[in-house]
Amino acid sequence: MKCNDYRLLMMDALYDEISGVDKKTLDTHLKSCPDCRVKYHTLQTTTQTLKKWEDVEPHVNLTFVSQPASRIADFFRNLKSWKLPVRMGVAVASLLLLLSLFNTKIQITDGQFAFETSLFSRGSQTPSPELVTQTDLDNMRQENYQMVATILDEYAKRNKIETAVLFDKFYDELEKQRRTDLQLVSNAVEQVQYGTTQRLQRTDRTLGTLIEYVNMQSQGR
Amino acid sequence: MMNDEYLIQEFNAGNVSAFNTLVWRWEKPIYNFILRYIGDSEQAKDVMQHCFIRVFKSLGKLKDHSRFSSWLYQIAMNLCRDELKKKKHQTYSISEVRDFDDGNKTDQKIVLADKEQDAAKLTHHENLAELLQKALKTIPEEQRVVIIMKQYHGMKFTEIADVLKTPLNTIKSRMYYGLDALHNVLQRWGVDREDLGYEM
Repeated sequence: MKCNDYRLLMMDALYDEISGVDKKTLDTHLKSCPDCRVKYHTLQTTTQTLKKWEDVEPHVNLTFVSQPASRIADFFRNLKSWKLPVRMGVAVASLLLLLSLFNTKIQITDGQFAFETSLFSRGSQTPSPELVTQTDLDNMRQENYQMVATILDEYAKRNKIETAVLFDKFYDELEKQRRTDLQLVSNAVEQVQYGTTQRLQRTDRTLGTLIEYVNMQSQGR
Repeated sequence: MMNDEYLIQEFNAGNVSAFNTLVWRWEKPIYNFILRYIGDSEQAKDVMQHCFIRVFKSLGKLKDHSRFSSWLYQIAMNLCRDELKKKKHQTYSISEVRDFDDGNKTDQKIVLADKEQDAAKLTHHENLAELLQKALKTIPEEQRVVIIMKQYHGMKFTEIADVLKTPLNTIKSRMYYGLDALHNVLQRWGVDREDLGYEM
């Protein structure tokens, strides 16, 4: 080991943090090296000099008292310890919240509560009653007329459709009735035809019987 | 005996008196640490107050309560560094001392960067604390803080390495060179052990 290598051991020895083995190594070197012996002695002298500088009293009365907790103050205090991504996230969320607050519309009209919010301002907003002008009123009236006309048109169209549907249904009913009647007439004709045939056959038989009777009478005379 | 860890637990549970006990226990060592670091008693008092206010605010975040003292010294050290940055132009440096020393080799017994100080007057009228304070100011900050922690706060080299987040051997090396530089400064100023004994 070179002399420079013993410096760290000198520091350990000065403050009694040296192990037994290292102490022996250092002592052996100091006995054989006058320069290091002098250096170690001067270091000891310096530490002895420094020891004479004693502590002094601060003469300050520091007393801490508990304060009511302030959540907002704590929040901003803790904000410093947050990591950058978290801080950015909170900042963006706060911005969005702020934007939505600026663009929030709350209305209470005739006891009806309406709440509407959005991130960005709406392009067309219902003007407040104070801002309605004669032109606006005329426009609104015109719009109302157009709306009523549209409703009437729609009503007429709907009526036409309903009438057409009714006629269709009526036609179907008539057709059904006609077919039923035709069926009945057909059945009746068949019945009449059948009855007529029966009667003709009976008449034929009666006439045959009469003819036979007449023939028998003529033969008997 | 209420140790620091118990007091921290009590404070975290809402007992402010426990924190005041911690302050009462640590204000003297912290004040002296700051005083030796920045060298001005009024500034030291202000920095100490800031230090304990910061501790009060962030003690709840300290996870390992056994590291309280190291953490406390870390806070104090950071505040001292901030303070020194503000007052950088007022600090003494080795180069300043050396430059002045080189130009006045035959003249003064004690050489300081503060040229208004008369060497003889200084030896006789300033007390030991002021003398050592000025001597400490002449050595690099990184060596000074190690000497203060080791010499006046009895911290182990491993603890100092933990506080400063620096390898152990680097700490010992800074201690060695710091003591060596202090010795040289005191020697240049003509301050020897007998003088110091006389002053005390």
